[in-house]
Amino acid sequence: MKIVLNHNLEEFEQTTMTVQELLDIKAFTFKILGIMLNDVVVKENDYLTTTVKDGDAIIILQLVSGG
Amino acid sequence: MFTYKHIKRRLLDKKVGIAGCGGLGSNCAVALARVGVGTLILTDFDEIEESNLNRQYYFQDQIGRKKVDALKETIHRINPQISIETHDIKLNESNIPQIFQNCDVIVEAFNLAEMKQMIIETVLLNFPEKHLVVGSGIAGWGNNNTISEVKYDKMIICGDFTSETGTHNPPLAPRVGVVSNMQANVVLEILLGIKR
Repeated sequence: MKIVLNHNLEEFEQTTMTVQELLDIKAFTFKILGIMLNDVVVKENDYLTTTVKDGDAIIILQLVSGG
Repeated sequence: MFTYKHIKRRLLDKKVGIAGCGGLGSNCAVALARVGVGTLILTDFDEIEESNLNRQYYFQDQIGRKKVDALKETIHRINPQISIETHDIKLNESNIPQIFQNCDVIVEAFNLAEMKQMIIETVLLNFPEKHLVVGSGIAGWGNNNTISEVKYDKMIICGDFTSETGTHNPPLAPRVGVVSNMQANVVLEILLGIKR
């Protein structure tokens, strides 16, 4: 599936995955401030149950150093 | 429709806090001063180094000086009417509430992610009603389309949310300039209360 992750088009072998699976695959190490799937906030408690599918746009807001 | 005269009048009694006067803070503060935000509170504990000049709003002849002092001077060269309060101090959970209590908006312009986290938590705890404009992800060059703003209740985050600065991904004037001016643009939107 193809999704737009933080404004970048990315391709994954999986046809669908949970938000948590996506986080695990990308191995994000920075503090996550919030996640928005197709402009809707995904609560932390819902990472395991919310599904990401082909064509979705997801924003993973991380706090990264630099200023 | 606002004319610039109306905009200036509206901004005159507004107060904006700048947390950190490095790449994000110095450029954001200058943009806000140019449009006429009445009062700026500048905070930083650092001195200017030559390596800062690739992105921060300082000059060769200011190297070695305190950032808050040099930035105040520069802003007054642009607009002497702006009232500026400086704090040569490292911000923390206990001094932030006192320093920024009267600000209409606070701009987070720290370098380190843990400091960004600290001010977000401090502002949410002490001033849940206050707008906080955060910068996150400014390193490198190119890729204009990856930079955006995301609103999270009273908090607005600008940047690419991904690129951490490091030896192989340095912060450089163009992207730092884009994000810092984006922060200033968000501040204006909040202060003027009208989305354009």
